[in-house]
Amino acid sequence: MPGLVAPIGRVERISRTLAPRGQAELRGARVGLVDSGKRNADRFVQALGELLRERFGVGEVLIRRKPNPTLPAPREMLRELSEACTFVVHAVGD
Amino acid sequence: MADTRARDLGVPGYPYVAIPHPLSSLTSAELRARAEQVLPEVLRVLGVGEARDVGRGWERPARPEEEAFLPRGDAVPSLIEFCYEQGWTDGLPVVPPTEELVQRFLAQVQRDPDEVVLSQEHLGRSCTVRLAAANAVMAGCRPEHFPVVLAALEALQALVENRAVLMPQHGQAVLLIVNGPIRNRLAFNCKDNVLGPGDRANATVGRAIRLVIQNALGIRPHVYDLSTQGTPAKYSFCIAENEEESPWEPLHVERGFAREESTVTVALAQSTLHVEQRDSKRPEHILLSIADSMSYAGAYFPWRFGHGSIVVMGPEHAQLIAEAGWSKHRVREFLWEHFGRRAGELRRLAKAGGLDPDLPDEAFVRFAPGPEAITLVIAGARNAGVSTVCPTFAWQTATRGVPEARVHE
Repeated sequence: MPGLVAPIGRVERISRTLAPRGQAELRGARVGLVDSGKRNADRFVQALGELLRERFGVGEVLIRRKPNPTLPAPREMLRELSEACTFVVHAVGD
Repeated sequence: MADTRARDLGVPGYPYVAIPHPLSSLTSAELRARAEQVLPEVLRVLGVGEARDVGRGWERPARPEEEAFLPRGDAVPSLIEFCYEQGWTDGLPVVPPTEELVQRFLAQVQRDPDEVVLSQEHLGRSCTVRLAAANAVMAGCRPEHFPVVLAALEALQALVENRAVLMPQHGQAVLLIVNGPIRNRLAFNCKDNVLGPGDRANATVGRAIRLVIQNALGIRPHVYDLSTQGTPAKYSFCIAENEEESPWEPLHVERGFAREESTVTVALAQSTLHVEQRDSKRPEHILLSIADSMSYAGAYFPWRFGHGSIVVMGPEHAQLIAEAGWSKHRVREFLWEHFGRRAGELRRLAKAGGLDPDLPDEAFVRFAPGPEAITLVIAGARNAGVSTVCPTFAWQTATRGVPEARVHE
């Protein structure tokens, strides 16, 4: 009996690192929120942005909507937000 | 799913917040309360506020996906158990993908075994010709079925390119429709029980596609496949068109192929819905019953992208309609015109989210962008007035030719 051929695909791994945490304050910061594109996600991130401003003195809140709920946000959108903001929260459709 | 995705992307322990369901049916005040509820978690993952702990306590080490050790010399039953242990099956036993069998499948096609035939960029995963062969072996295919499997995967690639439609909660299945001479040569069923079990070609070719999705693309149940309920059609969903008893041109001819060519068409479908109409011979009665079933209250009404449907029409229905002088084109037009619901009914069902509020209740809202969003295929036995509709929200389909394959004796 010969060996078996593994039927599973390999993941093309790319080395990534997390952005550093705990080095910035929310007060006055510019925060980016990515809306997943699912129904009500826009109103949800808006509510989240309002709370961040009211309770933590966050400065500007930039909201962007992903064109596809399940796929990650386009690179240009992420680049724009990461360059403009101190904090970015990205939503993924369920 | 989030943990697996984080691991796949090379950032295990990526901090995230899960927002409790439901979200889409909440009012503004409820949405704000939900945002308030998750706010501390958001602050935690941002590493600000009181809690600066950002780790999620990643403990489970990543299982090596490229299994180095594979058993040799074991008895078949233990190899089947081995396949279960590796998580390679759909719950049913598989044929162990031995090197010898995989080679026999690869010998059917003039293709580089490392060539990629299907990929999902956002998952960083793809299926090569060799992986497709291993999964086709496991599904129970015969070597001569492999060219159909490959053509189906290539059609599927055209369908899912830059989309994540293989892993939504709707739990849709991949439907294959086989046309042309290969149907009869490889014994694909197109007649009685066409949507049921019993025929190896239908059962195994359809199953091969699901195993590729699970194994090669990694869209496995409980990991990346988190359908709310799923559908039995995910095990296998492959039919052939009953061209001999269809009064109209077959699907592949409609798509520009010659009648003598063999093709496989790939579509995405959420379920199969049985449509009885044995009480009338009139085309309008038959088609209104079908259109009403296409527009059932439980259907998903995706306003932003347009809705679609696949109609597997029984030969008896098709012949009665054709005898009354209707062309296939007219049938699709009629179905499209009646595929929808009145605005008032949509409001009563609370499914009018994207609807113009000024639209009067009696206005009929068409679900599909045009007749092209309705795929019409004739299949089944000519023994009763029965058809089937397969709802789909990603209504686009793709057709690919199947090269000739040698038949092994």
